[in-house]
Amino acid sequence: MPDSRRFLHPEAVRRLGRMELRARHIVEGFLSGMHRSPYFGQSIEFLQHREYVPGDDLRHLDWKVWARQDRYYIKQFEEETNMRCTLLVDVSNSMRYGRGAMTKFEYACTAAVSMAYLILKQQDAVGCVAFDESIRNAVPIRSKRNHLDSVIHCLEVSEPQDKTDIFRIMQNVAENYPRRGMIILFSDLFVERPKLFKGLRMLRQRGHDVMVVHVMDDDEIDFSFNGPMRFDGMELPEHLSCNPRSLRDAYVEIVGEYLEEVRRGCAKNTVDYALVRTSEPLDAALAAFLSNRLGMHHRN
Amino acid sequence: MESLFLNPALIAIGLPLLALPIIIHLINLMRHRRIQWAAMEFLLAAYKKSKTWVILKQLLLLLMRIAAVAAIMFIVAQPILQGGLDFLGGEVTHHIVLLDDSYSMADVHGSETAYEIAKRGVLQIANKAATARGAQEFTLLRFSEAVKEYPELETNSRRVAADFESTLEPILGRHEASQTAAGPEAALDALDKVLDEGRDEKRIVYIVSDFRQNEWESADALKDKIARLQEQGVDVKLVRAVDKENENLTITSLAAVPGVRAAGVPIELQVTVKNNGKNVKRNVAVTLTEDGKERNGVTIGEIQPGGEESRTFTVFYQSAGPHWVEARLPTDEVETDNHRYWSIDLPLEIPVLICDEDPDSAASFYLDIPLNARADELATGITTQIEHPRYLSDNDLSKFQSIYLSNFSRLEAQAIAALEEYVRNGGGVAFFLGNNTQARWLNENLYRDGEGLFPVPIASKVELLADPTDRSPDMIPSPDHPVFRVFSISKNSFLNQVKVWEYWALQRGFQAKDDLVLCHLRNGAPLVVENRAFGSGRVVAFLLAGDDSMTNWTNNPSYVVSMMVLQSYLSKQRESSFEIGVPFNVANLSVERFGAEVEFSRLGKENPLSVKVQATETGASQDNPQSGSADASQENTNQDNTGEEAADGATPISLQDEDANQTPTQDGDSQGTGTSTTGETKTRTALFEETGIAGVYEARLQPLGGSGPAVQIRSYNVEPAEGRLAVTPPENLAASINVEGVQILSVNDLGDGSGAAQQSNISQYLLYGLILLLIGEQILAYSASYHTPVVPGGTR
Repeated sequence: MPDSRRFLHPEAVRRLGRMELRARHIVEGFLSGMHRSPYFGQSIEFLQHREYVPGDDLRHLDWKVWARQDRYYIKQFEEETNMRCTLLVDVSNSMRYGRGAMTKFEYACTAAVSMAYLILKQQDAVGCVAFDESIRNAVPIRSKRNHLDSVIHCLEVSEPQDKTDIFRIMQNVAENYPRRGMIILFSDLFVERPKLFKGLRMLRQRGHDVMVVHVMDDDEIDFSFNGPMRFDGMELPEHLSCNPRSLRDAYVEIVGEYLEEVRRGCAKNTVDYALVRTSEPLDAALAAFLSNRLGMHHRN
Repeated sequence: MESLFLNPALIAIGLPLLALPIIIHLINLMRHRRIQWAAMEFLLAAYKKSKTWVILKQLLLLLMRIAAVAAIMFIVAQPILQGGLDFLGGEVTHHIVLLDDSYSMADVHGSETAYEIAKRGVLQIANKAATARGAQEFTLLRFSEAVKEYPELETNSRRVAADFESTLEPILGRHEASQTAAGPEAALDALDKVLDEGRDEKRIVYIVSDFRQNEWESADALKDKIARLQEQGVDVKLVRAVDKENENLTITSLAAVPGVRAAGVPIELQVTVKNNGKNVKRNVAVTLTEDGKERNGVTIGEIQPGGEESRTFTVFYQSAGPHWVEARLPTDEVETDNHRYWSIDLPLEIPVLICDEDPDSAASFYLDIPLNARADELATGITTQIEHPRYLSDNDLSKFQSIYLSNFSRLEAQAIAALEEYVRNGGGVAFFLGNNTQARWLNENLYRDGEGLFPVPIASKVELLADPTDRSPDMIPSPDHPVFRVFSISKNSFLNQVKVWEYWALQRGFQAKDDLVLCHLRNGAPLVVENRAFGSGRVVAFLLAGDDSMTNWTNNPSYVVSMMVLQSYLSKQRESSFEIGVPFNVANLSVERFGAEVEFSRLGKENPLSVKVQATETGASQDNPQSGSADASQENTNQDNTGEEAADGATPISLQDEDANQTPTQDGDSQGTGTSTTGETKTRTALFEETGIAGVYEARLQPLGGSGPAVQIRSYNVEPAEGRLAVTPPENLAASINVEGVQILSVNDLGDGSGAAQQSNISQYLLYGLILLLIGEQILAYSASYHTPVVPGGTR
């Protein structure tokens, strides 16, 4: 497998391929045959004509206008795809952590690409935004099969750096992607929780269906270190020399409170939330997430 | 609590090691792994939350590790806890050593005496105590001290320290085996005096002795005392100092045979030697010394094992005054019983009073003849004075050695009182009845239902009926009594010739005690009766006349002999032999007649001693608050007694002024001669207690008026029975004591390195403590998260 495609784990994708991806909320655009949509038929409604430019799909050429006026016009419809999904991937410095098979960054990217592959396979459109303090890279939402390479390329060039400024990112996304769709956030969420919840609330208010994939390393949850250690902050300037086991109970308690706070904040804003550990199999994490979304959809 | 280490140098070396845990802790802090950490926010919050508890645990852990290092250091240095763990509330163990220092312990075994072996054993006991666990106390009591009313402990409940041996050794070195025959019974009895009953302590009583057979075989009393101790929870250990016996000769007696003691009168002495060994002793030479000068000794041809042999020899002193004789055996294993002393305050003459109502002295004739033999014929040393009984009322009787009353009708009440006082003070009185005797008056005034001088109540004068069929002599003397013992030695034809026609019969129904009847008639009626219940003097009553009116005995040669022996028997004791340790008590010294200075001396070449006491006439009793007490009343002005006086008084020498009329005697009477002769005269008493060594002691008094010093003399001898050296084998000892739990050890058993065992016990306990400490440290370390958790996933 080429290096540029290292995020595509065929086994994980194959297993995800057997799962049904169901959006919980109604978004504009719906993949026919697979998704129930209240906007069924509206996707072929004519919107406007524009003049043909090379590269446009000849299938959209309005032959009647050419026959009448001998001009090449492209018919534009109100909606080009059934589902628009934006993948927000946190590439901040904290995502570099990971002592297992994958760092959180690698895990998040793999999951995001897998998700993009799945979405594209379903004829839906997907875009990607890599961000830390600001948007580091972005690809527009497309449904072409080869768009996956663009997504991969977007993530590949994004090396983790700097801190995360989540609200500003979400604000930018909301402005740049005004049409309603699905937004999936891959992050460790080491951010200020009020800003996070504020951003999520803002996206929801703009009609986006938001999912949060909370990627954390086992160490960050279990804190199973032994022996004297010195911890240097990846995003904070502080450091601490200590015996980790002596702090473990307090740490686990605090992290538990943090996870509970995030979970509640997401739930409060009707945001799907899933905590995945980098040690967990990627397909299992995504499958659990998708099953969760399906369940929620059924409840709706 | 005192502490010592067997390896104190290791403590100095190990002290820096106490810093090791701190150094390791610091190194660990520097050796931490570095890691880039994302969730720093949470880690800092956790640290802030747990900071106090984490630091506390780390400090505790550090302290425990330091303590563990210290414990290891102590174990290696082998600490010896002295004074025990009483600070932890541990029980005190009290080691009470009863050390036999009787003179049999002077028995030489090889290069050391039994007493030295015993002292070695005591030191070993002390050493064991010094290394034993818990608080230890040590008390040492010698047998010779135990017999005293106020025993002095060599160490009294002294707390045992590591260097206790160095404390005890000089104490033991101060003493050698005494010359006493003090036994274990007194020592066990003394425990009640010297130990506090209420103390909560574990007591172990060690009896360190030679365990001679004369004391420990058939020792029911000892068995009872030891059993009582065991019942009280006291451990009793018998520590044998010797296990074999030596040959030993003992002079068991040096005494004068009965007779008159006066200047110019030969005195026959008898020395008796006992063979306490297992072999026959031949040609035993007894060396004799008279007044410190060697004289011809005597030789005993053969003495069988366990047997005694006696030899007599004669001493002759022309001058009155104190004289003494020492008999000495050749040196053997026990030297103490090779010496024996005899002393006498020899009078120039022996004054005797004969009271006779007859102006012609008819009744006294037959008494005067045998007693007052003329010097040119035979020197008896006796001077008789014949007076009417009224003489008794108005004169000083103390100057007479004995008083004879013959055929008297009545006595004045004052005379009776004077006689009774005379007897109480040791005088001797002989009554001869006669035709003038008034039975009723005598019974009422002299017998007084047994309260008076006369020993029996009499009824009337009766005839001794002739019995042709009975060929027994009329007079049948008791062979056991000294007065008539001379007739039991061989068949005496003279006594068989004695005829008695009349005698005074006892009141009907009165039965005289057999042992008080010196002689009886062939019909069984008592003829000569003694009263021993009246003071310290002697009273002998003849129930017949002292002349030839009722018997022909007065014309018989046996009468002369009997009177001479009777005189000797009645005379006040001038031979003064005491057992060692009895205080030399010079009492009733008239302040007007004697100065306050009394010089006590021990005579002879061996162990000479001379102590002078100067006391002022007034205030002496205040200066010596412990002195004298009632002892002053226990001796009369003639200085001697039978050695029954008590050894009261704690000071070696005391001198006390006392008013004879105001101070009652211990027996309830007044102050002897002081009262009867001088009325208001004050007296002094001098007490000398340093009589623990056998020998001849004299007290020199200073008469006022310039005359030469008056001297009192006494001989002090050891108890001869102690010279029997046969030891009790362990099995016999166990059988004799037969009390469960009593351990029988030998001195050699005490040195079995038990001290090291005790030390290891301490180290062992430290080791247990270290193990507990390390377990605690591990638990705390785990709690403080210094250990890898046993969980799936393992260490990161």
